[in-house]
Amino acid sequence: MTQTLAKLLRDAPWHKESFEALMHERLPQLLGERLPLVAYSAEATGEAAYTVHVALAGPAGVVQGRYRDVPGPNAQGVIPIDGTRRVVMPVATDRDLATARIKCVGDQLFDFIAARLGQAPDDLVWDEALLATWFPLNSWVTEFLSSWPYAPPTPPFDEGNWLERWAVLRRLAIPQHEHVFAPGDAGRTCPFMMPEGPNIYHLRSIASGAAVRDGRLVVVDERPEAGLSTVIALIPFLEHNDPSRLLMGSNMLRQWIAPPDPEPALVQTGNEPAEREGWLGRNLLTAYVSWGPDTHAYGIALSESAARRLGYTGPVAPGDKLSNRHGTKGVVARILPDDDMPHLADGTPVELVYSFLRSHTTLEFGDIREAMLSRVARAAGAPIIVPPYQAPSERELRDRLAAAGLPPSGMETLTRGKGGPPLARPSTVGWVYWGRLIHLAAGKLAAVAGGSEGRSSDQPAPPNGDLAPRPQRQGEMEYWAYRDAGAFENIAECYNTRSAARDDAASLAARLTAGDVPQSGPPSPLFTQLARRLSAAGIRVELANSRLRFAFAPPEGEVLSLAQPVPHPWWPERALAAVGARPDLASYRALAETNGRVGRFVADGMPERLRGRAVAQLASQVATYFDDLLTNRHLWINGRPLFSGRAVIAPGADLRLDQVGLPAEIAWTLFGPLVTRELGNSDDVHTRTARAAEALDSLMERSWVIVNRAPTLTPTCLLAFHPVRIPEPVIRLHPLTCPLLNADFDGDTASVFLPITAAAQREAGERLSVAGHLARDPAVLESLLPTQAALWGLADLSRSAEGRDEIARLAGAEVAAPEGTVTREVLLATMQAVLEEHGVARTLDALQRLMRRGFAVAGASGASINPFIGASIARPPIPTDGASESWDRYAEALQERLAGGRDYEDDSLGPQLLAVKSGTQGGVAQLGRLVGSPGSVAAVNGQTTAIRRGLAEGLTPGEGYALAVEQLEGIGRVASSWNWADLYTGSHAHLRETYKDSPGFTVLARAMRATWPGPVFAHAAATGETDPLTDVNSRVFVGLPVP
Amino acid sequence: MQDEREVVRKVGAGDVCAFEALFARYHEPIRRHVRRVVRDPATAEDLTQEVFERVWTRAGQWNGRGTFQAWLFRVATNLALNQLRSRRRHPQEPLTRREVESGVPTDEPSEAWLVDPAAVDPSEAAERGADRDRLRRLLTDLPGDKRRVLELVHIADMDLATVAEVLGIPVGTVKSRLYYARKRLAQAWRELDDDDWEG
Repeated sequence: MTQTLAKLLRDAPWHKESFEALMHERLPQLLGERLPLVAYSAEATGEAAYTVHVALAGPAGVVQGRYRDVPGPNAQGVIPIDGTRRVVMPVATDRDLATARIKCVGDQLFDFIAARLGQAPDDLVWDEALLATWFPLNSWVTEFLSSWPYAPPTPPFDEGNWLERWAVLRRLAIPQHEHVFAPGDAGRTCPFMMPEGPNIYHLRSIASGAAVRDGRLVVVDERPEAGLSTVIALIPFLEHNDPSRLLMGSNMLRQWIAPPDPEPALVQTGNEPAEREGWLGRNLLTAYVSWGPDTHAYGIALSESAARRLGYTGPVAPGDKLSNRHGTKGVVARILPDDDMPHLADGTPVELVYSFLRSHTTLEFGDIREAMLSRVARAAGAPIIVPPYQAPSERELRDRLAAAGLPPSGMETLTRGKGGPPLARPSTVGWVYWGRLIHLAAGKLAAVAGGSEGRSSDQPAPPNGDLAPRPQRQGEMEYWAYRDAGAFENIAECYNTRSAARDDAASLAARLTAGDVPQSGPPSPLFTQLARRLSAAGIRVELANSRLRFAFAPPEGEVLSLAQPVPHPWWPERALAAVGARPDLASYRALAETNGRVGRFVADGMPERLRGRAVAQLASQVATYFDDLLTNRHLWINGRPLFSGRAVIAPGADLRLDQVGLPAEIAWTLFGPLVTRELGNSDDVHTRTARAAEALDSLMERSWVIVNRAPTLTPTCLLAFHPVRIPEPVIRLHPLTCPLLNADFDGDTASVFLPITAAAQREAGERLSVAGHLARDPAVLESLLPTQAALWGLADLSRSAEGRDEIARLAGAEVAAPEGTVTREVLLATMQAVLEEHGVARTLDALQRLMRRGFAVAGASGASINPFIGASIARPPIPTDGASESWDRYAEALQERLAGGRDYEDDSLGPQLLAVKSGTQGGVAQLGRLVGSPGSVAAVNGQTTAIRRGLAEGLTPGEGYALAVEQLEGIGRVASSWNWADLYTGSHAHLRETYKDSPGFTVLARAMRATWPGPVFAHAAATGETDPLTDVNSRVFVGLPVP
Repeated sequence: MQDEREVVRKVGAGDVCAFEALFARYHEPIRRHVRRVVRDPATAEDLTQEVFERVWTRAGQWNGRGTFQAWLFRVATNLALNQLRSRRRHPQEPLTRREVESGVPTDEPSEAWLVDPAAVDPSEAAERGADRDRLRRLLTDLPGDKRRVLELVHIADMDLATVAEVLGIPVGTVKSRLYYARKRLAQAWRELDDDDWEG
C-alpha cells in the first residue's frame, strides 16, 4: 500500500480544513461586508475550540466582542459538543461528483451564518450588548450543530471502533435525486457501502483513494481497490462475496466491540492500521456444519473456551450477536462444553459452529475461503495478506494447502464430540475472524407490568435520562392480525384495558394484585385523545348509548379567544371564535403571537388595510394549527399495552410446541402481581424466594403469553405459548415456529404480552396458539413444516428406501416421493393428509417427531460447504465473446445442468444441490451465481455487462461494480415510487386496508379513511349526524366490545 | 404627494386615507429593511405590520425634526433589534422547520432530501420507520402481478373491489395475490434484521 493511501485511509482532513478557512478567511470577510468591522482575530484555544475576537467602529469609539469556546472540529473532524460528538456531513451541490462542489462543515456553517447575520444600518449605535445580539456566534454554531439537516445527529459512536469513526467521517451527502449511481461516482465513492433505506440516493462513502480538496471530490489513487470505502477494503476475499453481503459485512464491522487484548486476524487485507490496537476480533476455529437446533436459522453454537475468549465487556450470553467480516452473522444460541463441540481428528475442539445452509443463498463465500487459508497461516505461524481483488486462485490455494501438509480438499472429517464417531462427510473447518457486536442480549431485555405513571401518547416521550422501559407497541398491523384471528378480547386489552395511555394505568398492577381485572369499557384512551383534540378545534363529541354525537361547541380547558373570528378551517361556513390551547405545538405558539397583534390592531382601530392583512394571517395560522392538531394518524388504532416485554430470540431445543422460554426477568415482571395475589404477600416476590418461584412456575404453566415478531404481516405473527422460565436473557422459540413468526436468530427481537383478563387468556389459547391458528386456517400448515437443516436432514434420510419408510412412520402417513427424495412439497402433501385424517394435535406431534429426526440426520452428516464448491461439475462450453446474450445463454445452460443433477453424494456441491432440490433453501439461480456466471446485468450507463465469473472464482472490480449497480438501482426504483417522507411522517394511508376492508359510511369509519379527517367531524357536527358505532374498527376505537 | 408633515398629522388625527398613502409608499422599503436585519421573511412580515401599527398609534411621536422616513426606519430597526434580543433570550427554543427553511437560501440542503427517522418521530421511527423501509426493499423481489396488487392497495390506497376493477380480475384473485405477496414478504423478511441496515 502506498504511503498516500495509508494516510488517506486514516484521515478526513477536509472537516478541519474547511473550518479553519471559515474562521480565518470567510467569516471576517462576511463580517466586514455587513458590520462596521475594524478588527478580527480567531485562534484555536483547544483541540476543538476557538476564541474569536471582533471589534466594530461605534460612535463613541471601538466596541469589542469576544467569543470563547466556539466549538469546532478536532484534528480528526469530530466536533465535541454538550457531551456528544458530532460530524457534519459534506454535501455535494450537484449529482455529478466529477464536477460538483463539496461543501464541508466550514462552508455549511458559513451559509448558515450568512442567512442570519443582519445587514447593520449605518446609524446603529453599537455597544457590546448589541454586538452580542446581532452576532451571537456561539449560539449560532450550537444551533447549526443541533438543527438537522445541517448536522444530522450522529449517534454517539464508539471511538474504540475506528472503523465506525472512518465510516462516519468519510460520508458524503448528495441532495439531488436521480440515480443511485452516476458516471462520476466510480473511484470517488464506494459502490458497496450504501444505505438501502430512504437515503439510498443521498448518502455515500468516500472511496479510500478519493479526497475533498479545494471544494472538489478528487481521485488521488486510481487503483481498483482504492475505489472501495475504508471499511470495505478490510474484507479479505471480498471478490468472493455478493455486493449485498459486503454492505452487510461493513455494517457489522462498524459495530464490533474493541477488545482490551487485540488479536490480529490470521488472514488480513493489508489495509489495516499497523497498530495492534486496531484489531477488533478473534480467530475462532469455525466449522460450517449443522449442529442441531442450536444452529437453526443462523443460531451459533459456541464452545465454552471461545465464550471466554470473547468475554470482553462481560461474559458472553446466549442472544449476544457475533459476525465475521463477510456479513455472516447470528446470535449465540448456546454455549456448549468444549467436549460437546465437533472435534478435529487430532482432538482439537471446534470453537464455533455455523450452519452450512446459508452461504449458497445469501452468497457470501469469502469466509469459507478465509477458513481454509487461515489454516495455512496458522501452520506457517504468520498471517497471510490477501489484498482486495488479489485473492489467490483455486490452484494456488490447493498448492498452499499441500505445501502446509493439509488436505488439498480444504476439508476435514470431524467427530461428533470428544472421542465421538466421525461425521459422515468431510466438512469445511478453519479459523475465521469473528467479532462481538455491541448488540448484547442483556441490553435488549425489557419488561414492564404496570405501576408506573400512565403516559398519554399526546405527551412527549420522557427524556433520554428516563430509563424506565416503555411498554411494547401494538400498532395497526398487530390490530389487523388480531382481528383476522378473531381475537377481540386481546384487542380490547391492548388498546384499552392494558393501554399505558389510560388515566388509571398506574394502578393496573395493584388492581391485578387485588383480584380479577375486568375489561375496561369506553372511553378508550384513543377516543379520549381524539375527543380532546376535537374539543380544541371547537367540536364536541359525546359517547352515549353506544352512539357518538357531534356538535360545534366552544373549546374547554385552556382556551385562546381569537381577537377576531375566522372561518372554521374544516367548515368555512361557520365562524370560529376560540380554539383550545396546545402550547406544545409550534403552530399554536405562532398563532398565539399573531392573535395578540390582531387584538392590538382591533383595539387601536387600525385601518382595514393593515388589520385585514393580520386577520388573513391569523386565519391561515389557525388552519395550520388545526392540521397539526388532528391528523389521520390520530385515527390509527395503536397502543402500548402494559404487561409486555421484549428480548432477543434464540432457538429452544427442548420445548414443546406450545411452550416458549421466557427470561426470568420478564417472567417475574409480567407475573409478579399474579404471584403476589396467589401468595398473599409481595415480599416473597420481591426477594424471589423458592416459594415464590414455585408459584410463578406453576402459574406460568397454566397461563398463555403472546409472542409477537414485527412486521406483523400475518395473524401467526401473534403466537400464544405457555411460558417456561429460563435463566438466559433470551426468548427461546421452538424451531418449528420460526416461519410463523418470520423469525430467525441473527439478532431479531420479539415482544411478549401477558393477557390479564380471564377471557383474553382463554382466547389466546384457543385462537392464537399454534394449534389454534392451525385449527382456524389449515393453510398455516405450510408454515409449520420442518425447515432448513431439519428439512435437509429428512431429504438426506429419504435417499434410501429405509429412510423413506422411517419418515412415513414418523409422519403417520404414506410418503409419495416421485423424485426419489422427500421435498418440501412432498412433506406438505403428506402432512395435509395427516391433518385431514387425524386432526391438529396428531399433526403437530408428527411434525415435531420429523423435525427432531431431521436435525439428528443433518447433525450426523457433516454436510458442509466446499471451499472449492462446484469444482467437479461438468460445465457448458464457456462463451468466446463478450456479448451479453452469449453469457445469458451460458448462465441458463449452467443452471439447467445444475437443476438436472442428482449427485447428492458429491462433496463439492451435493449438500447444496440437495438443499435446493428438496426445497430446503436457495434456488438454482443462486447456485449458478456461486459456481459460474450469472449472465449479464444492466450497468451504470444503462448498457448491459456480461458477468463472466461466479463468486467461487471471484469477481473482477468491474463485475462487482456492475452487480452493485444492478442491485441498488433496483432498490432505488422502488424508493422513487414511494414517498419516504410520507412513510416516515405517517401522512400516507398505506397500511390501512383494515379500514378499507369494511368501507362503512359512519362518521369514524369515514374519518379513518380520510387523509384530513377534520372536515369529516366538522360535517357531522354541522349536520347533527350521529355515529351508531356499528363498524368494528369504530367500536374498537372508542372501546366498546365487538359483538 | 402632499407635504409629508401634513400627511403624518392627518394620520395622527385618524385619517385612514393618509395612512393608506404612507403605507403604500413605505411598506415595501420597510419590509426589505427589516428583512435585511432579521433575515427571515415571516418575521419581517410580522415586524412590518408592527412598524405600521406604531405609525397609526404614535405618529405624533415624530417631532418633525429630521425626515419622517428616517424616523420610520429607526422604529423598524428598534423593533427588529427587540426581536433579535427576544430570540437571544430564548436561544434554547428551537426554530420550527418552517422558520429554518424560510431563512435559508434555496441552494442549501432542505429537509426534503434527507429523511432522518430520528428527526421525524424519535419515539416511533425506530419501530415503524425501520420496519417499513425494509418492507419497501423486499418489494423489489415480488413477481410483477403480486406487486401491482400490493401497490394499488397500499400506495394507491384502493379497496379490493376497485383493484379488481382496475386490473380486470376477480376480487378473489386480488385477495389471493395479496395473500401471496404478504407471504413472500414475510419469507423475505427473515433475511433482514433490525440492526443491520443503515436507513
